[in-house]
Amino acid sequence: MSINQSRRSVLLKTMAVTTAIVFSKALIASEPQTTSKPIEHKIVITAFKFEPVILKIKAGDSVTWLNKDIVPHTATASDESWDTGMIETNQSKSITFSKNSTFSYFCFYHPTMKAKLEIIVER
Amino acid sequence: MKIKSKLILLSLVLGLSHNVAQANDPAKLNDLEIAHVAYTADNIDIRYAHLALAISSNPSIHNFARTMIRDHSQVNKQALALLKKLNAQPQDNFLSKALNSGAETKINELSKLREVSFDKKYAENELAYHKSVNDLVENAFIPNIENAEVKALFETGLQIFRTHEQHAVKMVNKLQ
Repeated sequence: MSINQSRRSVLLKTMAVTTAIVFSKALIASEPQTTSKPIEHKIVITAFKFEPVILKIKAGDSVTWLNKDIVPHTATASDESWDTGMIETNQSKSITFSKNSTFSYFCFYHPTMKAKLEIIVER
Repeated sequence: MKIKSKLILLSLVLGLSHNVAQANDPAKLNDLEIAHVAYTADNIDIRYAHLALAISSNPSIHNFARTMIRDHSQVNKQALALLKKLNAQPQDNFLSKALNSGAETKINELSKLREVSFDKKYAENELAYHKSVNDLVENAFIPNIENAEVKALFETGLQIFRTHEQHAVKMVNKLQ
């Protein structure tokens, strides 16, 4: 083995070790994400629309609907599995979602108001 | 010309006489007269809704009727609060009178119906009523309202009543 080949071999080994350390650190850093505290997401009801109209959350997170319109609304699952009940003007209601699922929901009082909620990853 | 033809359509839907429709122009009403018309139109739809709750046994009709009572009452509450703030009183006028007169005729007509016949007629009337009043608000009232706060309330109201109109379309289709 020449001196150049020997140097190349040492360099490659060093790079491999460095890469392994970086990846293992990345794995450790990502761990708190799977055990992180649940997040409260906000949906604003304004001008007869849910904003955002599509929201992706993780199981265990909660969603709070804030009504900024001058008339009451609800957020009601199309399959009727959950319902905020009446949300008065400038009031909010929250629901915590524990299981992975995808829900279409609407305002029970104004059925043309529709939105979607995706609970995508188990904690 | 566009407003005039809409007014003739409105007169047919709301039961106004052609003489009333042609002799007066909604676009020439002042802010306080427009406020009176809107308040009257809200109250008429609340009356239709109470009739629906009394006669119909259809849950969809009941849900719609309760929404009409809730939303139109809320808009009227906001309108009265605004008028109080502006230290102004709504002014009765030819269109408010004609709307009330047309509503009496319609309520008499609806009162004689029962079950599906009532539900269909109520739903069709709600669609026609919202469509006509919304066109009136959008094309004759909003462009002519002078006070910015009154105009803003009408714009919010129109948004609400357009949603009612879409809801009424669904209700009419469901009852076909």
